[in-house]
Amino acid sequence: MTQAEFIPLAERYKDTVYRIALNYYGSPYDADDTVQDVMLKLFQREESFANENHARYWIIRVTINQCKNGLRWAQLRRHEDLDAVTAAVELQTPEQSEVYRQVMSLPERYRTALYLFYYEELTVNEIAALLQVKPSAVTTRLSRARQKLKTKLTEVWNDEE
Amino acid sequence: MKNKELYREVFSQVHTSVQINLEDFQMTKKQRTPTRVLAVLAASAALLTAMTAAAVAFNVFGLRDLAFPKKTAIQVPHVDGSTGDISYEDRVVDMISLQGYANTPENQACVEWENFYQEYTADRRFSNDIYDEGGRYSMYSVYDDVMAERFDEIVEKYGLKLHQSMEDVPGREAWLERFGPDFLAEGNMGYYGYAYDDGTCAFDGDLTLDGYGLVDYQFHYARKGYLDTVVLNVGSLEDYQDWDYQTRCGVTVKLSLGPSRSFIWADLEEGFLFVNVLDGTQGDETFSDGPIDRAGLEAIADSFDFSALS
Repeated sequence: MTQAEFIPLAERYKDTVYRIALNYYGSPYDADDTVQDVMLKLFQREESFANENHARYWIIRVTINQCKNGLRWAQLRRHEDLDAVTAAVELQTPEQSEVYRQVMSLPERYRTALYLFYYEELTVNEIAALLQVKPSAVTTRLSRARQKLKTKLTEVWNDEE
Repeated sequence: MKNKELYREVFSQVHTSVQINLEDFQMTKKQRTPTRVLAVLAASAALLTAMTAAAVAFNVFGLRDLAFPKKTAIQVPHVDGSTGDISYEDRVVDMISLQGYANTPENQACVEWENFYQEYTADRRFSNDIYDEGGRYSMYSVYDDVMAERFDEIVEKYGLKLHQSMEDVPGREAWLERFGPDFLAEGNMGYYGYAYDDGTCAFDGDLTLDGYGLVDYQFHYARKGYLDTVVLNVGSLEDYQDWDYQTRCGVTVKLSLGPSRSFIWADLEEGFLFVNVLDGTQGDETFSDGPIDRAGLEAIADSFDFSALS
């Protein structure tokens, strides 16, 4: 990959990598480490991407694989206190802070599926393929995540599917 | 506002602190060549292999009975907190399989796959299309035809079956429902985990021990006869002391007490049990309130009813 290609892609997707890794690990530090590792892989990639979607999907996939490998090395994992994770982000309103806190208090599998579905707007089948689980498992995770958030965020979280 | 819009509004404000600096990546690329580690390994591997070959028939080495035949070279990334620079520390570590003793097909298949996986996926790019979506390999990390072929060879060689499907197990109540009301003692919290169709399962948990405080653990149970590929870096095997212990439920387990990790494990009738306790004689500032000793590890073992796994 040329330098001219790398810098714009890295700038555009570093937050995507960070948010996926943050949902995976629940740790801002591990998420930043993952950004470094994934961007290094991007930098080392010799071929150009066919198009923007191609690049985005490649980066998301590499990030998820990187996170999975990270979880396998149990000694490298860090558990962050939920208060510290919440405090690390300055959100505009208390309502948003509470949403962030409750999302980050969900189990990892729920968080990751929710992020890929809501933020990256991937389909259930795409998420299932990326996470290497059955589509029904993704549906279950999304459903349970919504139920939990509905229970905890009664004022702002709607009862929708 | 819809949930999706609210969610996006929140997470759009979450940003990495990493600054993209081309020079950092150019420098890091040069630092990653691991050839020196491999040269160091060659000298020690022969001795370790010979020792292991002589001992596995009797399963007398404790934790060593689960170990890979050769030590493994890994690179641990360190990020400079002030500059963001990445450096990689080379380490040579012992890896263990969580599927059974080294002379079992489950262990050997796991080791063979892991070695292939690490070698094959290093510095290799894969298609952006998901391989075999929802098919035979969907429960495993198989990315292309070459990996699938090697995977099939290993499965056939060791006569193992594959995980077919996986379900979420949301927490303590679900684990008690699965394994019985006495499976986890009061105060032993099993959290979210997963279970395959064949009974192989895993979850994270913690418990509060009198005199020790809160200790985190990771539970893993691998059903015999199935390929499972979970491995664990244990640092150095020499750092662990092993002994047998009969738990309150009457099941005899092996206990391995190390500096920052300790293990409870047993070769049960239908599967292989392994609990990774994230604590040891030197403690772990992230995962525990303080160090544990032999009595502490035995108390943790007593907080499970492993007979429920039969």
